[in-house]
Amino acid sequence: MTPARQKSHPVHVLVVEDNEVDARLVRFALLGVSAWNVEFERVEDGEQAVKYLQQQGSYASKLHPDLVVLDLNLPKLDGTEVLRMIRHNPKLKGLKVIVLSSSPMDVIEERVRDAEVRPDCYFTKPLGLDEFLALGETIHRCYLDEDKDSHSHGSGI
Amino acid sequence: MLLKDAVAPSKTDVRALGLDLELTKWQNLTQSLPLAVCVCDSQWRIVQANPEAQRLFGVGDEGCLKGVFVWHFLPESDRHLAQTQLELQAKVEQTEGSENWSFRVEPSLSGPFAIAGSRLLESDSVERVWQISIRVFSAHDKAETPITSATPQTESGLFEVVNAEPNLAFTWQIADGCINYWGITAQRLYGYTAEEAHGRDVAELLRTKLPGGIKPEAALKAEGEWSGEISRFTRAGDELILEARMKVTANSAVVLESNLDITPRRRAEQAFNFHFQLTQSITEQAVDPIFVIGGKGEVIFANPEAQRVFGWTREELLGRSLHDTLHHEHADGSAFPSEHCPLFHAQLNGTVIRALELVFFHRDGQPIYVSCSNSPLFFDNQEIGAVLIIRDISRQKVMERALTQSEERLRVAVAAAQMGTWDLNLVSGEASVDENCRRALNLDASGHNFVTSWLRAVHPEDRMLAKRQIETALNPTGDGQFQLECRTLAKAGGRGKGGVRSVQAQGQAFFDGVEETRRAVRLIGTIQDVTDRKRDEDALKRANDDLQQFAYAAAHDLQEPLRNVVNLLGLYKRNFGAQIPGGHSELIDASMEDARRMHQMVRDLLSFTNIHQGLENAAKIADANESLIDVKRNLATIIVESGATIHSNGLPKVNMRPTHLLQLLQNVVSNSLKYRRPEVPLQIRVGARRRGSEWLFSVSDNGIGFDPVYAQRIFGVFKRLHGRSEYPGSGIGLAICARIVHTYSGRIWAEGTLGQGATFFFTLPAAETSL
Repeated sequence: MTPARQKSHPVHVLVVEDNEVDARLVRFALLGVSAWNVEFERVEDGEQAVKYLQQQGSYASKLHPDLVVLDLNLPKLDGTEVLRMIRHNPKLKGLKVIVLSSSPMDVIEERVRDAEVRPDCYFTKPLGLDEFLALGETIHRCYLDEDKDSHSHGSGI
Repeated sequence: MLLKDAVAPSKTDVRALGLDLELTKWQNLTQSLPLAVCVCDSQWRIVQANPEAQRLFGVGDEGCLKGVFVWHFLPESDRHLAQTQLELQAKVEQTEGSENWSFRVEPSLSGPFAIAGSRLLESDSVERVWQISIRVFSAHDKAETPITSATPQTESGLFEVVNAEPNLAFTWQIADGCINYWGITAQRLYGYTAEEAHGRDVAELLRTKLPGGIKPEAALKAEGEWSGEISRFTRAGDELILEARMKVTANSAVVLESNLDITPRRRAEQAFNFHFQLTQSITEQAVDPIFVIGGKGEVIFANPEAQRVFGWTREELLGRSLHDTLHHEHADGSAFPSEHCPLFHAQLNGTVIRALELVFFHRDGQPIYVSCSNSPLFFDNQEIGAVLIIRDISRQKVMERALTQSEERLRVAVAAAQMGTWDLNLVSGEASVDENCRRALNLDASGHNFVTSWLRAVHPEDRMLAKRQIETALNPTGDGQFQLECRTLAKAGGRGKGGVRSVQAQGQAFFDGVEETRRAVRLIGTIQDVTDRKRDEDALKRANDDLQQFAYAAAHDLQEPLRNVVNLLGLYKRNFGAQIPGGHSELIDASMEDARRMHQMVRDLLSFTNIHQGLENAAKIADANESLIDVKRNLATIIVESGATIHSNGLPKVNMRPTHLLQLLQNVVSNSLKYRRPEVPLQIRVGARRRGSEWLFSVSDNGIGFDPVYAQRIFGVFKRLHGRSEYPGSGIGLAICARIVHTYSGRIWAEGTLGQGATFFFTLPAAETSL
């Protein structure tokens, strides 16, 4: 895929995040990557995420996203459950899931250790604007399979 | 003259002469002599003749010879000569009274012969009786030549033989020790025939044993006789003990020996001596005092131990009443008359007593606790007294008292702890259980089928566990230790409290036998109702868990708003930074900084509380070398900036979660990196020493160090030794280290010298297996 063609096909990103500020920062981060066009959809809790991905109810017309940026600590349904549902759904095979959580790295690792709920990459939310925005490139690379199973430490353990 | 003409009825009736005994002796002695010997009366008529004489005279039995004149058997030509000589001799006897005589008659057709004789017996009222021997020489013999048969050398020797001791057994020649005469007595005694014995060396044949190297030869030479005790062996190999009398004949050539068999007597004596010595040595060496008491309770015998224990000598005790001397009082000092004393009565009545406990007194009045045994003493079916054996049980009594006291204390302790004890005999199935145990297990009174009733009391869900624990304890290959904590389920209203309760039991099995035959025979232990304690423990644990969860959740949830503040301020600054008036920008920065700080503190608190989360499912072995590599990578930026070097000579594997080890090492190294001396290149050394089942790690640096006064403080949560302006950080890093180390039951401490450096020490459990 040439960069030009990449750019012309927008990447649909579903942001599953209950924190307003963090959601905004994710947008900024991904928008800052010049190599792609992204279009965002956001849901604020795990239940909404499942409904969206299963195209239920008001989300019936929604297309499957190309990338899900998933927080783990969500109201209602937990992020790991969302991930489990994604992995068990044959229609969602190939869907890239990147976990971006406020929990410390080792906690994230603990939670996603099970193969059933394995994301493609996982990061802990960095503290600091610049670091967060820099995450955009990392997420982009992960989406392209360049850094498979990468994870960064962000602002420390 | 014809033989029958010479016969005249003998006037001498042997019996009337009282020669019974003599003649029997005579017969025994002369029975096997190869010499013709006769007894004649004073008229020279034959009374007795030995078999050789019968042979010589050519008659078949003795009867034919009786009453015949002795010279009738001589050749006719010599007859008159012999008769004359004998009658002359008789006359000589009457006047001069010589004892032994002999003469030779020669020549004769058949060769010279000799007649020798002696008086056999004389008493006032009887006629003389002679004993004569007749020896016929062949032409080759000379009178002086000793005959190498078992006969005495000369005729006179013969008479000595015959007149010797009643027990004359045999004779032997002094010159060579050879037997030349072996009589009936000897034959009977030793079992050798005359032919077997003649000519043999007496000491060799009979294997003579002389006691103590005595040599009779010396005495024989000096005094001509010797008597003493010797032992010899029979033909069959039996040993005889004999009283031997030896007498040398007049010509000093032959020794006459008589042997009296005293074997039975000696054997009895030896047996007696042996038993006597045995008894004596037993009593002499006995560790218990032994008394022999007479019929009236008086002391007849006291062994050395008795004298030693009670302080009296044997002489002082002899004849004294045992009771009055040694146990006349009770232990408390009150009088104890002999009539009341069971021992005294037993001794008088001859009854047997075993292990009667009494108080005896030492001579100086000291009481001695004893245990006595008494048995009557019999001799010849008569009771002559009693044997009393005493055992000093003072020490035993002291130990008993100590044991009783110790048991008392144990009972009190067990009762206070409300512990039940149980003792199960696995062989018989019987158990002894105390009240507390019964209550804890709702058991009925009997101890039967302990294991079944016990299992019945255990909560159904815990029965498998209980059974397994018992099996483990009873396993002959194990150490027999028994540990069990489980629940019991009981109906209310029973012995103890009803419902579900918790008990804790521990015990020990004891085994018999070895290897394949080893099996458990006894299981003893204690049991305790721990329901209340468990409830408190559970409550505490739950409270702890709740607190932990709360702290974790709080820390987690507090992060978010803080991050938001930081990020919002950041966004604001980014979007409107150019438009913010001069000094106000710093206000934004300060807010962001504080928010960051707070976020970090919350993050740190989260780490701190998180240490105990999810410990169960973690990998449990960490390689410190790998952890150090990770630390260096994580802190790479700062390490390069500060120009620090981190050395290590190889680190071990420890039993802990790798993430914990990483955090621990990183925090300590981070600390050293932070508190470095700017003018000195920072050197950090990481090492580990084995201490038993632990590794003692050390991380030392040449940084700014610290005042040892604060050695404890630096491990406190949010505790710092420097202002924020000097050194950044929230002050939780080392607290986290401490918490991690304590989680693994280790110790952590620091040593420092202000201005020179610091070393942090911590212990971690060594990994059991090397992977």
